[in-house]
Amino acid sequence: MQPFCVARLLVNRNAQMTSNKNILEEIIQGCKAGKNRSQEMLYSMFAGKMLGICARYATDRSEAEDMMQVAFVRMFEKIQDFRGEGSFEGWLKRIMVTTSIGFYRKKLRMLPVVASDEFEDNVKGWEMADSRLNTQELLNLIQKLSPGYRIVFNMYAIEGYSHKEIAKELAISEGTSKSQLARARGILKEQVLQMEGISNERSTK
Amino acid sequence: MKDQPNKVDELFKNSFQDFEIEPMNNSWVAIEEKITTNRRAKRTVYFFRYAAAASILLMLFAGYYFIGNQKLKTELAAKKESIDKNKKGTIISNDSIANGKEVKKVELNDLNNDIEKSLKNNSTIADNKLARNKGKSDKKENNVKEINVNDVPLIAEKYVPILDKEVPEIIINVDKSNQENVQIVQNQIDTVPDKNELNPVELPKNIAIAKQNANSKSYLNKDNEGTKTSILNFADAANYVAGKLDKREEKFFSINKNAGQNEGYSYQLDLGLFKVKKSRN
Repeated sequence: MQPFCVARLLVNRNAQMTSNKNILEEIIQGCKAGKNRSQEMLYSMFAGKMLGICARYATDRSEAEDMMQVAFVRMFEKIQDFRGEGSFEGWLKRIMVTTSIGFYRKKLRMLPVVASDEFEDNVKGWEMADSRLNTQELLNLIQKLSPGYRIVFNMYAIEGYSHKEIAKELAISEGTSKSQLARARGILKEQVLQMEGISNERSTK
Repeated sequence: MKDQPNKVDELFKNSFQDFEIEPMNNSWVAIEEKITTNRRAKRTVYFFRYAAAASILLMLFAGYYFIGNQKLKTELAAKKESIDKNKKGTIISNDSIANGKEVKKVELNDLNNDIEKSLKNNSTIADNKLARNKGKSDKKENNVKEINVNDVPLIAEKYVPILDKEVPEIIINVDKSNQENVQIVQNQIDTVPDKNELNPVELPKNIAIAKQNANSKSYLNKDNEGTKTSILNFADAANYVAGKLDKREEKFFSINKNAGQNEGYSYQLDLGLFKVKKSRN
């Protein structure tokens, strides 16, 4: 393409992004004012992704829907406190995570503390990036984990919380958080390898 | 911690990077419903909180009135007995108090006897005004006519209980030259309203005022046992408030408790257009 065309594309894209941002701001303002239409638009923009996040914390689809709905309601209540600082999506994600965790609050008190040394698991020569498992299958693996492992793994590995943050959020010690993470990794790795073994069999047949 | 990012972590993180799930169709509706339910729940909570607070306050006042009232009555009865034993009472003119003159002491055998009689006979509504209007008339005119009690025939419809022989309870020294019929107002602290209509007696203004002064002061000064005009229960407080607000003989709201015999009490609500009177005996 001509450089001129490319430049124009870029300008358009930037304009699009800015206007997207403006649209979002408008919608947020509408939600603050309590307008039903704005709320619905906000929902349609983010529901899919948020449900994807909740699904990782839940055991099944319906629980995930529950978490998502409750979290959205909470978000609409708290939206007055959101002041354009930082990304709205990030703020919304955080509400999703904390709400989802809330569903398991009682169970979290009984997390076992296992020494984290036992589960050093970066196996050499094993490239997980090659895994042929699709997202849905990985989701199933996560949902099968017990709550403690599931939540800590999600928060650390995917959401990117630090052990300190996790400990604070779940009211556990950092040590517990680390050991939960290690154990989760171990289980998942095992299961992935297992499933890959199966799928290897299938593909070779 | 490791230098390289954990491979398990990486695998999952990358896989879920832009992961989305289509929500169910009724999902948004469910959210809307939850929002409206929350709003309603909050409103109910606010209502109940306010209602609870109001009723608690109401109960406190009621308690004050009932208990305090009862105590006053028993105190009165006790003092009446002590007075009977001594058979003496002191009457001082308001004027002399104001002017710092000498206090005249008069024997009151007759007066006491008449008080007894009248108490048995007639029971009319207490002049709550007197008990409760403290000091309001203080600054008004203090022209009290001095009456010599022994000379004046008593028409005892209401009485002032003489609570203490030492401290002046009520007024009255009348000039002999001025032969007026004096109606001494009975001032029971707590009376049970008759089944009949309430008949307040109108006093000559000066005497009425003087009595108010004397009575209110006496209540304030004498009883240091907490029964003076202290509001000890809800009924006390309710009547106190009613007294402050309503200067009529019949308060818009009053509670009276019958001391002694029966554990009876009555409520009365008078709003002008309608009256509610409830009594239990």
